Amino acid sequence: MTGSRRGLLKKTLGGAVLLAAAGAVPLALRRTRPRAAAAPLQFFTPAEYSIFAAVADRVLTDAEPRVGVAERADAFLAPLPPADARDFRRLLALFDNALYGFLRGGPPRPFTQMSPDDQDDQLARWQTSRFPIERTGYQAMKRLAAAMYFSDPRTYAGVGYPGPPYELIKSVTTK
Amino acid sequence: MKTDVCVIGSGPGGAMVASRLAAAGAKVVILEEGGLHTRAEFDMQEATAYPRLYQERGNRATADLSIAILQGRAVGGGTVVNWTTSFRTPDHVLEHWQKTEGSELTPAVLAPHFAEVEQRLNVQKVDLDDTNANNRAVWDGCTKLGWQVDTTRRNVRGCLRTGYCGMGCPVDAKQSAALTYLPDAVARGAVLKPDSRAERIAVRDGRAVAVEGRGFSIEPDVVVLSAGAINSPAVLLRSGILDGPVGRKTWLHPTIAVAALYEQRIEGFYGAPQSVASHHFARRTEGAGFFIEAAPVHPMLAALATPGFGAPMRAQMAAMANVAATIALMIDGFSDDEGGGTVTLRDGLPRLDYPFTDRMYECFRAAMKATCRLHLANGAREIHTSHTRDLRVTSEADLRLIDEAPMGPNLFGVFSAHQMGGCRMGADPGRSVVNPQLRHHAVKNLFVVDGSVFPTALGVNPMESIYGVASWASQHVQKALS
Repeated sequence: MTGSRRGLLKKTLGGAVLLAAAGAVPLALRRTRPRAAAAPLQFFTPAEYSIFAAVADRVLTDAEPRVGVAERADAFLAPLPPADARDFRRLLALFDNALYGFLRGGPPRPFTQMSPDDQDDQLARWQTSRFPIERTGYQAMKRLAAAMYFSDPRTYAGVGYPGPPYELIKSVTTK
Repeated sequence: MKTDVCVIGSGPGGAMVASRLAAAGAKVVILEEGGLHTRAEFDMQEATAYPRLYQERGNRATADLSIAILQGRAVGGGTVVNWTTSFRTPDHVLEHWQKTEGSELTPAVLAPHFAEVEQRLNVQKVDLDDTNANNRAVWDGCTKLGWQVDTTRRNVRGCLRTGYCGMGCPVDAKQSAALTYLPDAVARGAVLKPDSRAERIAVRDGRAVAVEGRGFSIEPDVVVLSAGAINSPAVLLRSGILDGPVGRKTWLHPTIAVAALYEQRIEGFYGAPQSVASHHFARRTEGAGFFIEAAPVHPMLAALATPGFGAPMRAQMAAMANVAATIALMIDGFSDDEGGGTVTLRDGLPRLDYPFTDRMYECFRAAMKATCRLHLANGAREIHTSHTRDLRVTSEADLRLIDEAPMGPNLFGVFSAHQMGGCRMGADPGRSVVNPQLRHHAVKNLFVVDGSVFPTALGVNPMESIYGVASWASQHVQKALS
């Protein structure tokens, strides 16, 4: 449930180089695999939506029930301050950049075009990367996906949570 | 709009000053950037509560995301969303401030203020029988190990112990500032302006002449800045009031968590979220101290704290009802070489950096081992630390894994629910932003009255300290008016 920060992305030499690489290679070998959103987008571009939806699928491993995590994230991110919004967009672009992924030991494909196993490998690489910038990026995406999923009441039963005790509250507030 | 006093922020500091000054007959305007929310809106859903009631919609964090920051943003500030734990400032902390910064605060000076606060907020000690299983695990584990532990005191009246303090009390049992000192102030004529963010304090010839925001300009005789740690230094920075170490030495009680899995259901989502605390390790000599408390276990917060992703994360989440969540809060600020956090501006908004240090790593490791030990003693089946790569402890022998695990930003989860410092008080203008009476060193009709003036962290939950210090400081603000 958290955004990324441009300051952080640019903080390290590694971060600056990576951002430059991502920006300097338009379309970097392959395009993002598009995916249709179930609702009109407020924050994401169609490509950004597709990237985040692919990330969320692996973070949650196609968890049931489907609650539209990427759509919920899109609505949640809509009021993000401009600088934070820029950071998050750059993060998604970097995460799906095929050249960058290849240089970091992955297959020469955008994240959205990888097999699920390769996608998990990339998430795992970022999770414990020696580059702080990647660890930050991983946390931003993982927390957002997890927060959007597990804050949806439709997922409560799956974690053994009966939900808020509305009847108890009602018994007091309606007296 | 002209007034005697403009208070920026309606958390415990601002609410208290406003109430005291309004009672003394001053014309008071209170600006609050957050909204006015009441119990009917508190639906006990994380998806609603965090965006509505927390800074940056629940998104606040250090710039590298290594410390997630829970900080209130509403009429009543943090008192609307905190977990009601009420402690007086420890005597040894006040002594330290006296010795190092020339603070005028002593236990005797503050005692009458704390007594009044405790009465107004109905602060009462929790009966052990009223603790939930999540807190009881801390009690039982500490007791079995011979560690100091006690029930806490809480500011509630008619509490149903539903467990949703962090999302706004749905039955108005929590005696927040929004239900106590703010209504007191308004009843005495204070004007409360929600959704009114102070952009800057205008200064002319060494005096604050106006508080400006979108669509308003207040012209007070005295300004009281009570926007809280992180936001108060940001207001000063935006205003170009740069004297002293503004924004520096911000303290967070950086907090690690462990999740202990029990055979039986714990249901940490219900019951008073915090009712037991151990200060057994608060005054360690081998490094920074820490104290131990429980944290509520609701799905979204639990998911944020659960390491990893994919099937392993979901498996841990599926066992959430059987988890006891225990936190250990590092007491930062007591070593001369500690820098703590630094607030700067980014596009006019606060940015916080808090670099991790070896002192922190030593403390975090000790805290992880202690919290694991208490759950091992209490019969937990397994305990997971907050390391990004899952670290599972099932026996004393496994504790070495904590020493072996790599440490670094975002390699383990850290959060903060207590923000302090950044506008520290002190006699030396080179080391502090406000003087011992909380008056700004350079801008003489400006006071800072909130947790940002604390020279160190407290080692206890900060709400009551802020109220008490603000009550004491009100007399100095009042003198400045006359």
